[in-house]
Amino acid sequence: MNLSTAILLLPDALLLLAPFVVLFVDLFFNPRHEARPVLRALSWVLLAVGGALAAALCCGEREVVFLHAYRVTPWMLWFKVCFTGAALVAARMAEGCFAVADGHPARLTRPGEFFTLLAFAAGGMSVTVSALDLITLFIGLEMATIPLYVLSGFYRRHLDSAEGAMKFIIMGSLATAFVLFGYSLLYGATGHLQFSAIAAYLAEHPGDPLVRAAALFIFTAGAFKLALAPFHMWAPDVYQGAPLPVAAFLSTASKAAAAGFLVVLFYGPLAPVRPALAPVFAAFAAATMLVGNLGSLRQTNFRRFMAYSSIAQAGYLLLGFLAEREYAVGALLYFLVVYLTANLAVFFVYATVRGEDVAAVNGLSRTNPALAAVLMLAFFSLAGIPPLAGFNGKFWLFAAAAGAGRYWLVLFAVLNSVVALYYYMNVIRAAYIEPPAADARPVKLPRADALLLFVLVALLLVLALWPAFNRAVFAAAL
Amino acid sequence: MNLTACLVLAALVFACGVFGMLRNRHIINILISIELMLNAVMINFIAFAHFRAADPTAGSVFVIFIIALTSAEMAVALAVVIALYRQRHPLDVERMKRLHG
Repeated sequence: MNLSTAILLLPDALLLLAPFVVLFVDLFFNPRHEARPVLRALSWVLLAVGGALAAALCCGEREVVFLHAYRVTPWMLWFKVCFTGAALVAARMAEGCFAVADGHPARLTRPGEFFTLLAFAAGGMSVTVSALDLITLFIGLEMATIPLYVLSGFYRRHLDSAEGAMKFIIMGSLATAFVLFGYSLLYGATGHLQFSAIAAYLAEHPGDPLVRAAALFIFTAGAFKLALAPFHMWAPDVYQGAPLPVAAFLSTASKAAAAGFLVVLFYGPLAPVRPALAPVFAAFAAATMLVGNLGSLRQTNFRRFMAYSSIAQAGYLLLGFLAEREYAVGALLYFLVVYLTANLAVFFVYATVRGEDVAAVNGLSRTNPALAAVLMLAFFSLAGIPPLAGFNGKFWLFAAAAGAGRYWLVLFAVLNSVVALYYYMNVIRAAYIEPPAADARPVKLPRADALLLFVLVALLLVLALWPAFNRAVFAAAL
Repeated sequence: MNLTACLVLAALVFACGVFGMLRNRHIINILISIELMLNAVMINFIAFAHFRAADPTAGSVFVIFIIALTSAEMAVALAVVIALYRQRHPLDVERMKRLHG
């Protein structure tokens, strides 16, 4: 193995090392269990992962296979960029929750455990997208999910948090049981757990009914993880109960991981079965968009609002799976990068104003005009208004679905985007037109946070207007 | 014993798990139902590995991974059950209505 292939494995190695670095720092260099030293350790490791990812993307080979069980290619690196970035921003958001006064409802304790679990989840997601056999895939998915169960119940003394975590665990375990049943049928039909052997079997027997049943079970589990209607019921409750940074991580990195899981299987070994499942994908996409958008309309709690909003976005995401590989993977990746950026910016604004309700940003343009501008641009991007990258993201997905001949579904998705525009605009209107609450004080933003928000918003503009990025993502997906 | 008998058994156990999941209201019973579904999966793997698979070792090893990882999952689930129980919260899913809308 030479340097240009080994460099592809470096980001994963660093990311899997991150939780242990955090634990080590917490154990030996953090006698009073403060948030700052562990956050600093995690941030530096994640930045190193980011550097390694950049190096792997620009000077790595096209593919490296490690022990027949682990594979890294450029499109997987883009998924890892999503996970690392979301973990970095969520960790930064969490710092504010550790800093608030004792007794505040948003107060978090035990930073060492929190950041360790966050790093473990990001590492698990990274393993999921790189898996090359069913065992690795299963381990990666569990490693990504189990820390999230703990994180979503991290307010141990809040009933909401424990109740949300319980619902998450029950739904997640059910999804695990389904996905494992699917794997067992796949193993029974093909006799192998290796993706290459499964693909070889399917190339000879494309219509095997056992494999179709397995694919349906696996897709159902993916639908649970991605919160697609009708398996979306857990998401709003979990987001509402979870700490805000965890909700942000769930609605971004966890969605990307679930999408990555489906991409790995349905554009990997199960690719011959995917056309047969296309009507199922289309039905789920339509139902999910509708449920997410109608659900968002009547929410007052911010995290529930964002939960329904991200359900709707998952519906758009599913449109990509209708297309052939060369369009689909690039469109999905582009959409995910842009959606994650905008969603993290919105969550960051709410983390700064410490609001439980959507109305917490009322009059934000007077208390902090810069934050209000960030909120506006991020929501414009989520809604898909042209100069921002969100428009391109949706455009590629809709184009992929239209390319597969699903014109009615694209029309339905466009109509749904109009509904989404209404409720996103409503928040922007409140931030600019409503008066601030009577006890509102100017919101101060630490310099590091301001820099992070600037980067997120700049990405939303640059990614849309910089053709090299489009080309890079689509080239990576080939 | 043949493959069909094992698969029918596994399907029955899995169906019992799904039924128990839908029918029960107590969290512990729901967790037991999930365990039943996972056991059905393990029967499936072992049966396929014994009777049919080209690569029998892989299926047997997978079962060990399932046992290890799902017990980690259940450990977290029981920790949350204890957190709920300590706060006098009913362990009844029908009454978990604090979050809704």
